[in-house]
Amino acid sequence: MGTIERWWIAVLALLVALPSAASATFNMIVITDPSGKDPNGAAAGSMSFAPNMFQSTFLVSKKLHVAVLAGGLGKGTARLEAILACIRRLELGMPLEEAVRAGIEKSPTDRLLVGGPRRGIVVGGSYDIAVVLVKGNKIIIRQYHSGSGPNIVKIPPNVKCAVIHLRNTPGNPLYGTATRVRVEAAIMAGRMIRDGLPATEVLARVMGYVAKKSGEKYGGGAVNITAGLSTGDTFVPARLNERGFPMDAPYRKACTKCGWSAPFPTAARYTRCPVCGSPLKTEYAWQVARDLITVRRNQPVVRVYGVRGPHDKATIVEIVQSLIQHGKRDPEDIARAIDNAIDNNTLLGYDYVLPSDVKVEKKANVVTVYMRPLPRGYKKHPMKSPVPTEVLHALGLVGSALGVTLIVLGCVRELMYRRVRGW
Amino acid sequence: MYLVPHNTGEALVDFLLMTHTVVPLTLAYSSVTIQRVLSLSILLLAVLMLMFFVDMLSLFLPLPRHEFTHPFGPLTLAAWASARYLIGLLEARGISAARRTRPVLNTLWLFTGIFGGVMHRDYLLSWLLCWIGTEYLISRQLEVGTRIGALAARAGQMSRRVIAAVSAIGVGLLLLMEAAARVLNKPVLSPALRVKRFAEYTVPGLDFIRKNAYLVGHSTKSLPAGYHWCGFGDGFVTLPVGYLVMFNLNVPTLHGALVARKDLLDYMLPGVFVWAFDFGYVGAFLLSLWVGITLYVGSRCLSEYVGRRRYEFSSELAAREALLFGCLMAFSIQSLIGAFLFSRAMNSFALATFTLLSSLIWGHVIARYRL
Repeated sequence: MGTIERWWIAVLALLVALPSAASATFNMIVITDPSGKDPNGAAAGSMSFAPNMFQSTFLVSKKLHVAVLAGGLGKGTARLEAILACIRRLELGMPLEEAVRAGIEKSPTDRLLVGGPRRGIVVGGSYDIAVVLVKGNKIIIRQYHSGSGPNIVKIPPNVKCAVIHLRNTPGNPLYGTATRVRVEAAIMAGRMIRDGLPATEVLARVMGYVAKKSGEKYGGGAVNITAGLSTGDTFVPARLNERGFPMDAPYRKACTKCGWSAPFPTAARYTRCPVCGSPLKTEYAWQVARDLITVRRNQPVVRVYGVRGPHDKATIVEIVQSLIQHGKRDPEDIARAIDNAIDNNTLLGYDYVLPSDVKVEKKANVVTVYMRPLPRGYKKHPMKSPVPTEVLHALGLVGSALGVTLIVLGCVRELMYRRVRGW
Repeated sequence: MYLVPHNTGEALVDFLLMTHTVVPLTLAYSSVTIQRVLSLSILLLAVLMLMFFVDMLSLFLPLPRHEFTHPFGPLTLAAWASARYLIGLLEARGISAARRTRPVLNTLWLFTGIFGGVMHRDYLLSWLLCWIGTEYLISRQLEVGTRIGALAARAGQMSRRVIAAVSAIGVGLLLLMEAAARVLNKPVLSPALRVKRFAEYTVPGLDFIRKNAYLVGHSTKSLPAGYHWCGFGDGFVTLPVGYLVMFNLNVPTLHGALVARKDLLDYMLPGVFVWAFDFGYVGAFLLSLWVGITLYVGSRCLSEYVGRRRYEFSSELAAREALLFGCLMAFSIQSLIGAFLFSRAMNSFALATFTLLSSLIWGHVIARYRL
């Protein structure tokens, strides 16, 4: 799937699901490695108190290594047009500033926050931002405010930086904390960038802090710009006009020893791991977001879609990880291993996997497997026999009839012999 | 008429019915001769010995591991005990021609024990039990002097020193295994590991069963979430998954990541408890009933054969008697180990073998001479 289509899918989802404006009131981009070499060196995230925080507020392009965050005061359709105009220009290879300017022209009361490694960060529209620049041991924090229009703030490439936009949504119980929290978050981010933490870590910690202190906590989500990873629909609301998952709330309990985990309404029932019996660790949503967008060199991230239950997922993840530990990371090898598991009855109820169902992203160290479950009640493919099933069915009936008859005849014969002997 | 199973208990009942109608009838209508029993059991023993050998290599070489000793171990016991009993029977009648097969049989038996015993300790135990039991019964029943009997008699005379020497050899072997496990860094070989595992898993397993088993079925509360548990026949006691899947039966199977859950009970607890968990306490009762009745019927048939042998000696009857003896021996040892020691010896493929042996015993109820 090409980059254009990827952009488009997220945007079309917005088109279908857009009754009222979703307004991200927290947007952040962090770049700790402007050269784009560190896979965790640039990250972006989006949260709000408002409902309908779907994925359109935190888009990322895997090819261009650019994230587009959106928000503001405008109506949903106008903002959508602004995003589309911006994306179109980015696809054409125009500089960020021009793309943002074109977007803001469509809807001046909205905000576009666009940035990536080697490209810098550009903000336009309606914003209250704190810009953090880190040069050596020096942290420079500046604030910019704009009500609307093409007031563009530009941060040059080749500098470690962060941009934090934060406003309070009316109705938020912690209304009025935004100004203070924005500065605190900026200082926090500046210190972490100075200390050399990767961008994904910085972003996740700031998100957790902001969610707790300012109440703008519903996801949204986060993206890793360099590697092109996204939290996707993990924290976004499940239905329209709802809020997403609060980023400062406990999301799941996980076993540190064997990797078992359960999401939260269920997890409250467990205090110890049901598989290995060791104590469980509670993970908060911002920690889960960090794990989802962080690239790890030693262990690949395996994502499985289309499975019937967590146990099948665990099986596939185990197969793929052991394969990659042995240095086999071609889609062909992975598909063959999974097909072997299906043949060995380790996995039941799935169609065979083709190499095209396995996506390996070497740079992000991510393997995605798309499984196709068989219809309900089927555990294996029906056997392909040259004899039609009706004939087999009839043969089976004849066989059972013959068997029953033989048994009855045998019993009769036995009885007869006894009678005869008795005479 | 359809008997489509919906849980593993029903599948097992179906399989039981199928084998216990087909095998006895086949046995009753086929001619069982001495040559056939002897040659087929030696052939079976040879093939299984080769399979055990290849399987043993997989402990040391990167080969796929099948653990053949669980499903096919009882078959080797049955084959060897039949052949051994048959040879004893013929010798007791003064027919010494069959004696020539004894070296072959002994060699096969020895190597089967070595290869299988390296793979699984419980197989070694059942092998020893089968050997001692068969030799003892042969010397008792047929009044034939056996080598092991003579050895035991001599050992009895000079008892104390021999007992000390034998126990020293045993302890030395265990120490050797432990040392080999440490040096080669293969914890599979270590006897200490067994004891540690027992303490680590068996007691919590029993506790788990006590909390969750009902009279019929079991509680699904402490089983992992995200799987459709039935509460009865959930696949802890199961026929081979391949068989269930081949007929596309909609029966719960524990596969993939869930196998670990099953193995926790399967490898650490006696079969009675696993049956008590999966089918409820009724299941454990039914298992004991099945084993008890089969053993009773089998030994009644055997004593009938023995009684009949006093009046007429036909090759057909001798062959049947030997077959019954072998199957009875293997069945009793498998039920002993499986039900009271280690459930894996009587689960999945081994459960199919167990059922087959049971049907081979029940086959002698409809004997041909009675028809």
